[in-house]
Amino acid sequence: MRWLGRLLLFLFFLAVSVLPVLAQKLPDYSNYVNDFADVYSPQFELDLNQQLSSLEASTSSQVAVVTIKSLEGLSIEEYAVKLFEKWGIGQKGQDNGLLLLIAPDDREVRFEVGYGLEPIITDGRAGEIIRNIIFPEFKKGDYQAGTQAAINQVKIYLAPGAPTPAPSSSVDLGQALPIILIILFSGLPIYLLAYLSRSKEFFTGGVAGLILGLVVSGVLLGLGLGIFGLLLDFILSRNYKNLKSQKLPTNFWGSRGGFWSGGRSGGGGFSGFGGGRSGGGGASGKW
Amino acid sequence: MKPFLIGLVAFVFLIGFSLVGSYNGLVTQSQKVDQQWAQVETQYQRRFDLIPNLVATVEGVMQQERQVFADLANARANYAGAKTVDDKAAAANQVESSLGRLLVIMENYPQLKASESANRLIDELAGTENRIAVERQRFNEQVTSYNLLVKRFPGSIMAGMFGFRDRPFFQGTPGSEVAPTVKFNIN
Repeated sequence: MRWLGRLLLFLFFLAVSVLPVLAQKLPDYSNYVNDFADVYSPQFELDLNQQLSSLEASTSSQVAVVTIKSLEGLSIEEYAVKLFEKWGIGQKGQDNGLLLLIAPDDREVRFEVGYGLEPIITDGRAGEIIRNIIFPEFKKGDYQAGTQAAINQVKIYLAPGAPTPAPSSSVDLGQALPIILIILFSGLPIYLLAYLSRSKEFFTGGVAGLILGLVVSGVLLGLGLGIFGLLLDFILSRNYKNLKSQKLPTNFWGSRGGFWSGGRSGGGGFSGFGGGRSGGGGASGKW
Repeated sequence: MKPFLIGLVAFVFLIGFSLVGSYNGLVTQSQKVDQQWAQVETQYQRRFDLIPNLVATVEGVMQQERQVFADLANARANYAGAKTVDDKAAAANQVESSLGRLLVIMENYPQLKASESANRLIDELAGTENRIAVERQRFNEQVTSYNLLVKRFPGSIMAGMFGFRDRPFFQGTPGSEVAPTVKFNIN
């Protein structure tokens, strides 16, 4: 059994030492369109950024278009899922992000679809866009036309109806909490009572009661404060985002402590990806 | 006497509190492992549901490939009958290898490459295989962090007391750890 422990420890350190290196290789984003392979004209980038910004404004879905020089030795599927994970494309909780990844030198394309968009941009649809819309243009070497046509099709798919909320996960707290509470409120007291009845000293009962009281009240207090903090932070961060998107000052005085802001205004601008997740859905192809 | 008592109470309280925290950590991590395994099984189910469509689409064209379809049906029946996690994982590997073979053989039928419905199915299957690979990798990462919690010092005491065992990693059968490459290259 010892060797297993050592193996695990080794794996852990391996993971810890390898992951940052891997993460460093992946680039950071600057906008919806990130043309690392430099195949688009500045004008095209500007225009596409604007289109994707208004797409987010109307559907809240975030679409990233990325061209890369090299896959860093990964398959395009691995690269896409890692990049998606690092950037967090799509809104948190809705996971409505979409990544169009193009590796011109490797002649490979991938659509990585966030969990929340999987019912809308199915693998079949993603594959169809790649085969029938992107490839004909890319084979001619026209990356801009291919990309634009693909985004046009994506817009059509995303347009009808609001994006469906993600059905998946984020339930660990909800699952774990009842168990914790049951243990705290039933198992532990019973165990203590059984123990106390066996021990002759009544002093133990006092100490046990004190501890139990402290732990239980501590947990309740923690829960209460946690929920309060969550709400407060929710309000403050939403406010922060509003201010940021309006390019208003976000320091303490400028934001008036975060509470008394004006009404929200629409308008473009890229304020970063929202923390959406993906799980390998989508399609890829080689031309 | 009094300082000693206060000290003792404070000490016991501290220990108790950290034990509760460590226990909760174990419960949370263990739940996360289960949750991640559920993600893997969701994708297995998805693959399972796609197979009949695929077979129906290509069987007509691939008349002489009886063996592959029989293997696939067999593996699928095994998966449907699997009860435990280990059985399911084993059956899923069987499905994976026969599916991989079918997809390779399909490359020999150009009329399938030209069919849009076959292409769509291939996309769905390729996407599913990729999802399985992603969720499995995340499962193994989750198991790693859970196992570390169980094995390392403060957690190991609680783990021993409450019977938290280290969990096995997912391991594919030899040869199936690489998802079948199902890119239909159109030239």
